[in-house]
Amino acid sequence: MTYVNVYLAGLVVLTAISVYGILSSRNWVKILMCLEVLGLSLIFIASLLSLSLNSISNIGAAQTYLVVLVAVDSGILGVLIAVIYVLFKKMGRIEVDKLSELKG
Amino acid sequence: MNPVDLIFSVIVVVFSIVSLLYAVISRRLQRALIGFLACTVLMCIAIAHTNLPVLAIVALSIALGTFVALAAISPMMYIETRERGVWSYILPLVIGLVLLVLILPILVRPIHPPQLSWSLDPFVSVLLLAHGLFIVVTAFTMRLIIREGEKI
Repeated sequence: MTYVNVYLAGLVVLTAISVYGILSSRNWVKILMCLEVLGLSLIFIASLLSLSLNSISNIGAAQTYLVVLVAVDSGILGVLIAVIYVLFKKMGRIEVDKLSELKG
Repeated sequence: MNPVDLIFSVIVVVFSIVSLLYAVISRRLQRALIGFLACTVLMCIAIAHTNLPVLAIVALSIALGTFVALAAISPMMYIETRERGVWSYILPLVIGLVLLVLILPILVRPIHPPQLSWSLDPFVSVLLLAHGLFIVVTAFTMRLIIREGEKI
């Protein structure tokens, strides 16, 4: 068992905890934090699997794609932060289940 | 295989799991932010340890930018959210399914550490630097907007 396997097992656990946090938390900021950790975990798992199993010549392309994934992830985060800010200024609360006014 | 690498990886994994659990369980938002920061920094250390330093730097910049952005908006959201018990049979089922799906690639074949890679294109590096600066500037701009809005 190499140390990469330890990291992969730990990342799987981190992913599961992040999913739990997203599903169980009512605070939007906590959901955002769990989303960020989930994205980082998935990126790390994908990079480890692709770089460890494929040929060495694909490393540059793989890292470039992963970097694009990180950028997209942070873009999503920025949009979510803006939505939260507007929600809080408008309604004064950020708990998910209290935002029934968002129904169309 | 170097046993030091194995011990270091176990320590990093354990501390990152504990910090993420603290961030999820903690009721106060500020403490949760500290747990989130610790978890992401430990993950970046893990990425760097697996011979991917460029990706580690990118992930660290994104994580720190996210932390600054969340910390900038958290003072106005100083709310102690009362988490209710939402445990049902669906939640453990979903988490178990995620664990099972993700653990399969590890069990299928052995994973070897990748070779050291510095292979990001210079053009991409410049774009990434601009992206990180954008996140930091956005965070401070948001903080400035909030501060100015409180004066009105």
